Amino acid sequence: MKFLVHFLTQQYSARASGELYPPKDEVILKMTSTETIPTPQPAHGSGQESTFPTWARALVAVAALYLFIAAVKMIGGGLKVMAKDPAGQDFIDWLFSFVHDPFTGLFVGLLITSLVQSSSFTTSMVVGFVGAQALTEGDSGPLLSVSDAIPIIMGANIGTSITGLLVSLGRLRHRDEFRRSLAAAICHDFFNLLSVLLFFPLEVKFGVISRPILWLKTKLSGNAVFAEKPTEHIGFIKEFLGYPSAFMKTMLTKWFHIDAIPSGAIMAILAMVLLFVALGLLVKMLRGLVQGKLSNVFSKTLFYNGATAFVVGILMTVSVQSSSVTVSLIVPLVGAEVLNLVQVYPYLLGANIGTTMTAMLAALAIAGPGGPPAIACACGHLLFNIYGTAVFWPLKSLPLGLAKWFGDLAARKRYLAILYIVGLFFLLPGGILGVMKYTGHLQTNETQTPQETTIMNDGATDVHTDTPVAP
Amino acid sequence: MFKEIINAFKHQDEVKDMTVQVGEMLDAGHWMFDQACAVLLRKASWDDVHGPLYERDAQINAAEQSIRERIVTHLSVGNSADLAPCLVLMSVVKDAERIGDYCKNIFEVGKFYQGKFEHRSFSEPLNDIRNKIGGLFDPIKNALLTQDEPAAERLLKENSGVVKECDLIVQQLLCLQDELPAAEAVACALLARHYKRVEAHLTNITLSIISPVALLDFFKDVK
Repeated sequence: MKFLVHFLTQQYSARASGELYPPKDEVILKMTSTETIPTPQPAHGSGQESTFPTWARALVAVAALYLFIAAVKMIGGGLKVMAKDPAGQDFIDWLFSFVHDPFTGLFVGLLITSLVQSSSFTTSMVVGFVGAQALTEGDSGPLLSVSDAIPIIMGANIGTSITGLLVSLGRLRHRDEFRRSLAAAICHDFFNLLSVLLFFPLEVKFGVISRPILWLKTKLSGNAVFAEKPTEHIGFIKEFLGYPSAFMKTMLTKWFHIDAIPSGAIMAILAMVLLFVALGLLVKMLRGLVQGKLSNVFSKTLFYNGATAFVVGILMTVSVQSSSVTVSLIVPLVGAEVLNLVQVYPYLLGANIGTTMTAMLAALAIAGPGGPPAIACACGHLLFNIYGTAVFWPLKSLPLGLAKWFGDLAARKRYLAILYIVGLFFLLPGGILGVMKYTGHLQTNETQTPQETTIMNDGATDVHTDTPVAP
Repeated sequence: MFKEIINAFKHQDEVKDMTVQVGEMLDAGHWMFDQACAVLLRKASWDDVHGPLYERDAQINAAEQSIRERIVTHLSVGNSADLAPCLVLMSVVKDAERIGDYCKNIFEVGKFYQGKFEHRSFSEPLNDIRNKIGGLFDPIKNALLTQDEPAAERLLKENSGVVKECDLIVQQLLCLQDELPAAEAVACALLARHYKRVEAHLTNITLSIISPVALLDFFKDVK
């Protein structure tokens, strides 16, 4: 503190006496002086930084994409290995008991996404679980049903906005810049929260998302592409993408002779780590490929029109495969008043739509009977964001107003921003999950909510097994 | 809409584009300098030149704001490797903008001083300085766009005497105060100062090609 005061005092007196900023004339006079000045260092910007070649980035991105898809397949593969042992099946049932209740599913999605700061990771993992059909012979149910996956995806949508909020905290020391940055970041969060507040009860009560996607699933299930024994070309692709999973299974069970439960657990955990690493690498490489274009993309010209900003949001997010990255890019720009909140709002909506492509990529790679539910799950993510955009773009004054209000409030009491982040993204979901688990309010496969029974009796599908139910 | 998006995604080098924009500012400054001198030498009417000159100055100011905004955007989206060139650009656009301001000042001398420059001991050196400065704009712009360090060093060496000449004119005016009409003396003194400032800013732009960021606007005495 003393050093800071001393430094600031020195700066002020130096400035007052003209030492720091000599008038231009003094500078010019120096030019004619015989007094020598030390030889300058090599000129700035002389290309000292080496750049990773574009072709290499593209190659690594393709490799990362392969590993990403392979990891999604490996998740289900690991759990299948675990399920060979009845104790392993029981463990899996216990593990997934957390998410059969839509409320806990919502908070599980929120908590996982907040921890890894990537909704793409959570949604891809969920797609992997949904695509892992029939863990054991004679088991007619999926590991995770499409309907159970939707609340997790909703939670992931909220959780992904933590990255933008953390970026805004970097501006904490500059009040006005922090106010604007935080407003931009939290606008994304409020949009997601409002969408969940509106569509979560509608989904639980009426299946506004699960009904259309289960219809899609039924339509896709009859397609030859998703047959148990697909055509030669599809079979080759399936085998190629499944190599890492098959290799890992062979290595653990046959080479090292490890039992089913630990083998499966190792596979599943490695798969999640691989998913995280591959996704991170993919995003980094893709970001590097578009880095040179970013400054021109984020221009007032493109953001003058809401429709253009929306399309830019979709394209940017599809390009880098991460809404966390594309939203956190816009936060400092709003802070620096290059763009304003109203201009970036359509971009944030577009980013939400664009990020659904990652889960879609993962789903398209799942062949066989697991394909249709995986694709349906990914479409559910897309549909949820389309619904949110359809409602809250016309009603933009609500999230924008809330964002401005919170930005102003947190600029005056900056601890509120930190409290909000810690509370919403960690304490709330962790606390509610803990309370629900230990007070016995969690559901298992055997119990159903009244809403699910209603949906079943409407002649739709069993929300846990996704199989048609006779009314 | 889609054309704009496609063009944005095609875009390659932001720093290079901004440097080109600075080159355009220098072109505008050159034009302003020529027009202001034309008014001074009674080769053009100040009435005709006034509107276009101030308009061109407004364009230079708008270009400066645009470049600053682009720099903030460019650095905010993670191009920290371009920090040094961006800091240089921030300094260089200031110099380019000030050239426009001093050209307006030269124009105003031509507008308000309606007499003749009769004393050759002042009018000839001022003519020489004016011609030298007019001839600097294009080579400096080319050196900036191509980052030609040898050309920049040569330009600095060749034109290091202009400042001395301007100071000498002012010194002489102060010594010969009784032998020159006051209006002409004031006009000559103002022109000497304004030419010196224009040359100084052109020198700063040239220096930016060879100096590190910390030594921008500081000149090593080249012998």
